[in-house]
Amino acid sequence: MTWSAQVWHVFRKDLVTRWTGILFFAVMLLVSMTDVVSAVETPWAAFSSIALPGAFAGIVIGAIATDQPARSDVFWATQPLRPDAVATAKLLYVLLIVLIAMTSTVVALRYFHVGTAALITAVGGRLWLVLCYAIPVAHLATISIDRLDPNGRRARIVVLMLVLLAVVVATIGRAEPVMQVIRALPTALYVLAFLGGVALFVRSYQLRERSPFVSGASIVCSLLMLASMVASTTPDRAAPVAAAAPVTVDSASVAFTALRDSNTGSMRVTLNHADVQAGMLYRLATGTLTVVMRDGSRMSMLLGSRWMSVRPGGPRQAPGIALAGADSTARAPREPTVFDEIRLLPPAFERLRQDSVSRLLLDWTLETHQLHEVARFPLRDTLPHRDNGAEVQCISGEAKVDGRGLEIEVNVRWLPLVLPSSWWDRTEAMGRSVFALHDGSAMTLTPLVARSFHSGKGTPDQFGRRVASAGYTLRVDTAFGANPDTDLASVATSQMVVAVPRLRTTRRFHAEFGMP
Amino acid sequence: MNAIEVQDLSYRYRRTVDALHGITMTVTAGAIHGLIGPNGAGKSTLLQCCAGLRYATTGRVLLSGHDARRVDPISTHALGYLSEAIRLPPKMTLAQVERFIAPLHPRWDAALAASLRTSFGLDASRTCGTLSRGEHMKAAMLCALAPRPTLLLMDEPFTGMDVLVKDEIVRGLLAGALETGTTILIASHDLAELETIIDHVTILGRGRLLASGAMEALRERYRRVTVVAGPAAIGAPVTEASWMGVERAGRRLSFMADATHTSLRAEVMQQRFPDAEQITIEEPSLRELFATLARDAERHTALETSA
Repeated sequence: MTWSAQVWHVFRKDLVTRWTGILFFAVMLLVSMTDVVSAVETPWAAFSSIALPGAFAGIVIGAIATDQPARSDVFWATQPLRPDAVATAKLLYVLLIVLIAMTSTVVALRYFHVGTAALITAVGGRLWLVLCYAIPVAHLATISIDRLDPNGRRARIVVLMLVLLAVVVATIGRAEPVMQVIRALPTALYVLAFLGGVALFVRSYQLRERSPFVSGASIVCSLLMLASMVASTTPDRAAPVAAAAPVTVDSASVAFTALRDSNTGSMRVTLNHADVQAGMLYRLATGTLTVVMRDGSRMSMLLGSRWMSVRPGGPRQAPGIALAGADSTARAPREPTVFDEIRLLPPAFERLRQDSVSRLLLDWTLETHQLHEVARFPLRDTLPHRDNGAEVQCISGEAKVDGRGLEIEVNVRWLPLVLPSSWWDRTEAMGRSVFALHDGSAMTLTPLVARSFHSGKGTPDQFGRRVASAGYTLRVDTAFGANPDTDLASVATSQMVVAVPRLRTTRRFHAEFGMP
Repeated sequence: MNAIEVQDLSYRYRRTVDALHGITMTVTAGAIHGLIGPNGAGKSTLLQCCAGLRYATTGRVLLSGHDARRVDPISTHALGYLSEAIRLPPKMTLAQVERFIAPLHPRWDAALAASLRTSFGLDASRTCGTLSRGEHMKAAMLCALAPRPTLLLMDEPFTGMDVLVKDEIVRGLLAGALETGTTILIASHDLAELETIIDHVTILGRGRLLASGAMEALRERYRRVTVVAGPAAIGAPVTEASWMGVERAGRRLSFMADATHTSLRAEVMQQRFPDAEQITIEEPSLRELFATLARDAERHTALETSA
């Protein structure tokens, strides 16, 4: 059998016997892909970030452990196989796994309509990163071969150790002094380490026993390759990207700040509202993010509400609601500052691009709404109320008072309610839930627990044909927002007020952020 | 023509442990050559050096006149190697293993493989990782025999096998060797089994060569002497330095010595044991030969160490 035929023979054998592991890895990739292309961070994002390199290491180490390089008691060595053919087959196997990983990267980038030039840059960078991980993994398998067994039981321990090592390396890698050393190393050294690493891998298959020199040199090459990987993935520390001048919208001052976290690749744009008016609702309506690549190509994506995350306890609503004859100021929550935060969440997607992104252009619309009372009724009551063609029903449940606060279960239905905005989310429903206390004052409540929440989203026309309902538990906690002087027992006998926001102002903004 | 020629071979593990010291031996082509010795004698290391799985520290191994270090013995000389330490790929079924190695061997005998599989009672659909120790050894033997090697090195091939299978293998090996002229170098602790098939033997002890040659020649070379003393027990200072494996039990004394040694001559024996009721001089069995030579080597090593 010729050398090339032997390479193909061993390679094919590995594919046939390890297809379940490869399939598992592909599934893991698919799962991680959903995280990449998804607009929001998926629950399994953290899991796949560990499981994916773990699965990668598992199938590579497993294949190498089966046909170990040390030659005294390995099966392949008792067969007429050339050691360099076996080593080449193993390298091909590693490359195949790398290519599978790269395919997902290419698909993700095509999904984001990345131009060809930027695609080549991004794929090249990613390929280098994956190889800088793959070759040390292969080396780990060869140099620790005395501690591996063909059944792979100990190999799993090695995989676990590798993941822990990666965590340690990543943690250390973020330390600035270490990063300075890593960045100071010339790129040529990394390339030499890579080439040397491949040569040492092939060499280790030709030896009859483990060589301390080859093992030591392999460790040095592996560390250099890992350093290159760390240097590539942590280019800069988080730094402010840009800050636009504050603008005034309906007497409220809105300031923009943007912060890019290079470690995660995410960007946070925060809109800080100051001097907000009582009874006003400030909300981001729509937004467009345009990513400009270094080759000039650009892509845009619509920012919906899913792109926004609201910090708990900071509703995008002015404190209090202007109610007839009510003094809302005295009962206002203690934190009058409200803010919006847009978390540009392509962490994986931006990481894929590495340095391919040149600028980010952000266009969005800020709306202000005036809240208008549309219904007022006592709790423990069902009261249909019509306002502007919308029927509102409030069905209250039990109110329980304990030492620290009051808990009321409330169900509200709007039949049908045409909202003046495009988006319907939980915070809007919450914003309309206001209690009028028995003394005539009002108190905005922030539900701590929302249950059975249901809402729709879409254009106003679409939404207008739906029935929206919200069921949640309202908890008035003396430690959270409620006036400590409030007689909690009296809340149970208070009235429920439902207010509907009406559009007052629409302002469009534009900001541009250059990538550091 | 010698199939294997070992010339002054020494091997040192990790530069500290001497496994073999200046071994020189030959394995005649077509012979079934036994390699015996206690644990740690260096049998496996010697076999691995012959198979090219280890390189000698000094000395060399010639396979059909070619240095094993310069050619790949397994490819070049159709060498089969079987060891209890070898682990078949655990994730592969036996059928997959056969499919994998068959194309690598030009003389692969599919019929023999099928026949061995049947006689060993092996299920080809089972993965090697699930086989018991005995089954694993049988599968490994199948993989070593089916390529019809011209030179077969076997390291403890009977491990984990029952008597019936052992018997089958022994008969199979003999038949195969006779039919194809395969040279077999076999290391085993199963001396009873080995004695029935080998025609040559090499005995190792603590990495040194104790004896090597044709079985008949070795038996001819040594003699087992048994002396039954008369009513007066045998006195204490009756041994000679050339006697090996001296054992006393009541009035009975036995030892082994070189057949050519003058002390074994009848008149000398008569002089030494004048009151003996019976003196028997016979050829030793392989087991006796091995045990005596190995113990003697141990004794010498201990003396050297204490000195």
